[in-house]
Amino acid sequence: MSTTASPFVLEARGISKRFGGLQALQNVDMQVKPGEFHAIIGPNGAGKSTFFNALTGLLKADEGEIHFDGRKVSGLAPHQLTRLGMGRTFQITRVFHGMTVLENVQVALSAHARQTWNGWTAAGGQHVARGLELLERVGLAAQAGRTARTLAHGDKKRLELAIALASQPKLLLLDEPTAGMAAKERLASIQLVHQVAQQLGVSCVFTEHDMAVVFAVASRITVLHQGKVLAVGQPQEVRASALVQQVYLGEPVAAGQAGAGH
Amino acid sequence: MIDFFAQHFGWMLNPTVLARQTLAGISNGMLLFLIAAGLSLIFGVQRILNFAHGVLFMLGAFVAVSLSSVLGEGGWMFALILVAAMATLAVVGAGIEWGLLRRIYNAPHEFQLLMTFALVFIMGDLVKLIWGNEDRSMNAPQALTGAARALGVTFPNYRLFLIFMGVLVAVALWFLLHKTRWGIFIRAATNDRAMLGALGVNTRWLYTSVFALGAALSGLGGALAAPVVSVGPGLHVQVIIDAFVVVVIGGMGSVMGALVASLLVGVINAYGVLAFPGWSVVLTFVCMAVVLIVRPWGLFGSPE
Amino acid sequence: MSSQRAWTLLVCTLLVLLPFGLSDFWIFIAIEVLAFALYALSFNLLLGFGGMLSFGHAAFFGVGAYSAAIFFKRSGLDVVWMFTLAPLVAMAVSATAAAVIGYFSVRRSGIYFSMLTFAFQMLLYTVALKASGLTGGDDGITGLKPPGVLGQPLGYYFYALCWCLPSVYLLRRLVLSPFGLTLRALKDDPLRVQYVGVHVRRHQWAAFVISAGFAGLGGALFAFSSGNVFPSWLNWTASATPVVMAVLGGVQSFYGAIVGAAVYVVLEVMISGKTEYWPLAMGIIIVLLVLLMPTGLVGRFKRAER
Repeated sequence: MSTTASPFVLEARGISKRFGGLQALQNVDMQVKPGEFHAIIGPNGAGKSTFFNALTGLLKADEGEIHFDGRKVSGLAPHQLTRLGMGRTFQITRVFHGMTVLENVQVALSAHARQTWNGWTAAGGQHVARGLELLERVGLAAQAGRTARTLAHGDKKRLELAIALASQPKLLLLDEPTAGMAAKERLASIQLVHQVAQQLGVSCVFTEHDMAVVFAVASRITVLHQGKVLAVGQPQEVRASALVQQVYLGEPVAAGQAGAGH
Repeated sequence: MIDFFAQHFGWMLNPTVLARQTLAGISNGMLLFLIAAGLSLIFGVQRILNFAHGVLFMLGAFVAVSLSSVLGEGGWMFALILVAAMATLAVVGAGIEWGLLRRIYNAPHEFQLLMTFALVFIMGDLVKLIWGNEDRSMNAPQALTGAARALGVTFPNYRLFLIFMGVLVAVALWFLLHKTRWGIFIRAATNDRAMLGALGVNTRWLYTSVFALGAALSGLGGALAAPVVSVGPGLHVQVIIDAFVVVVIGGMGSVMGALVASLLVGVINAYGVLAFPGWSVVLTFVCMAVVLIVRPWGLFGSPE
Repeated sequence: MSSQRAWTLLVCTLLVLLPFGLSDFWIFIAIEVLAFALYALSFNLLLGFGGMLSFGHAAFFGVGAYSAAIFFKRSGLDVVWMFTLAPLVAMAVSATAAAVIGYFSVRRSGIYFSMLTFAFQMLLYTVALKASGLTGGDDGITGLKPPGVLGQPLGYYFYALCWCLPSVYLLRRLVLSPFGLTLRALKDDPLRVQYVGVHVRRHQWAAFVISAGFAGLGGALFAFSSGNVFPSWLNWTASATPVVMAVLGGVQSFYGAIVGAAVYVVLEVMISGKTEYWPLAMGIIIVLLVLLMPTGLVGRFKRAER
């Protein structure tokens, strides 16, 4: 596959998806520039999840193409996408519950180093330094020996972030990264992600319901409505757009006010 | 090449043989249906693959044999025997569900497998303890012996009776599933579990009754089979395999699927026994594997 | 010396000294335990570590046994070559069968995977039963006792030990390796593990093949020890045996399978000696196991430790 130099780390062109009688996505375009913290927002039923699943290889779009780093990746399987440099986290946090925190990260590091076919060396002693370093970044180093199942919800999210980062992604896709959190935790959580992403030079795309979270960290926003792109732009533009306000925000949102989140 | 076809399929050109085999296939299929329907329902509702279903069939056969030695070969006595077999198995089934299976619905699958295997081992040996090791036999009731003649072909009456019973049960099940409240619950449990909660169903009672029904059907199958098979402690071993093949092909959870697949398997087996004696059973396993690979929810099941 | 090393040395020493204190009858039981330990370990690699419940594992034990038996009867090699190669042939044939069966089976998961392995086992059972030219059909293959020293209980015990100890060692390393780590992650969350870049099916297939190879080895060792092979070893009724052993020992632990195999074999021999109703006894034991001790013997012990 040839890689043509592209100004975008992720580009979706004309993505459409139909489920029976429902046109879930129609001709959706999105561009993510390197280093961006790009939010996808939209009311319920706007097609955020569907689009997200199409981007992360869980769904095959009926039409359209997805390009990652200039290379066409439409229809590739999740593990292939990860190998190319796309990481992801899940709305309902997915970690390896039966394994320790450190082991969780070691799995990802091992897979990234293409060592999963090694049936001989003891895995416990591998990637320890790097694993602890990642855990340190997300603030979990002290809990390295705990079984993941016993972690608090917020810590599980951090662990999942560490796992995703272990694969050294260029682009991280986060599905509702603050879902299930109390309002107070959310800002802290997204700011951690933002901080770590900037430190490591990882671009991010995330879907979100909570407007306070979005406006706090997003560098660009794509607004979806009924399966189509309603608006794209920087947070101030989007917030100021009368169309967006009318359709989605209802009323202009004052800075700092918690939005229509869960 | 022609020799091959002549040897393996030549019998099809003989209408008497063809008719006889087809009839045998359909009547065997009906017996299979009785086991498979229950197995399929139990899987659909409580997601348990009941390996012990064959033993339940065998138990029904033994009960029938014992009762017939006491009650004789009268037609009405036979009807009584069938009812008694069903009732016995319903009680046994309910007991098993209440006592043992109930505790493992949420257990990891290996525990469910082990529990049903344990039932096979326990009940299989209990049958031996009660009835001994030898094969028994039983005569069909007087009213159903003999044969009917049509179009120059002879059809044993009992086989016709089996087909009739199969159709009767199929219709009764259809009525049960589509025209009663209980049936709605069963179909909800099979196809849309979330709905079950919304309907406010007492799942305990549902599970017990479905298992009892499945056991009763199996017992009926056994009692009906008793006059035409040799009833011995090894009867269950082959029976459950055929039932599994049917349930996979027909679709787990679907009674219609069980009916169609039973007839299919019954007839194919009847043909296969003449076409490739000894090896025809391989065909059934190949079919089972192919279905699982290509369309695991079978002909009438739903992907989940 | 670390406690792990100390334990290993102790156990190995015990295993070497054990047969000298046993009667012939009990040495044969010990040999059976060795063979079934491999069988159970291989099964638990799939279940406890890979999260795959195979209803058809007995097929590989049986295929290994039959391969060794047929090789023994037909290859005309001298004793040394014969008994060096026979277990390897058994492993190779089992692994090859698993490569084919596994290829199709891992395409499905959950109950469908289990039913597929079941269907393939029944297929192989039918072959064992019907291909009498090759497999002896209904009668199986008899007369498999090794000649000479290997035919003596003591001799065969050490022969079996020579195959078992390295196998256990290899399996242990496998479980602790990156492959083993990946397998455990795969069991825990097959979706998440894809997103760390793991090709799920391929790894499941590999585990399936490796597991079958060691089951085949167990089968071969048992075939020579008991002197015969029968098609019933591949019938569906035999599918429960590896599951019982694994659960009895505790699926979450590696060594649990060995404990489970030992307990199972000893129980089976003792109870079968007293009554013909071993299945009834086994059924009752299973019920008690499932209801009262679901974490298995090793699981119980571990919990008591805390």
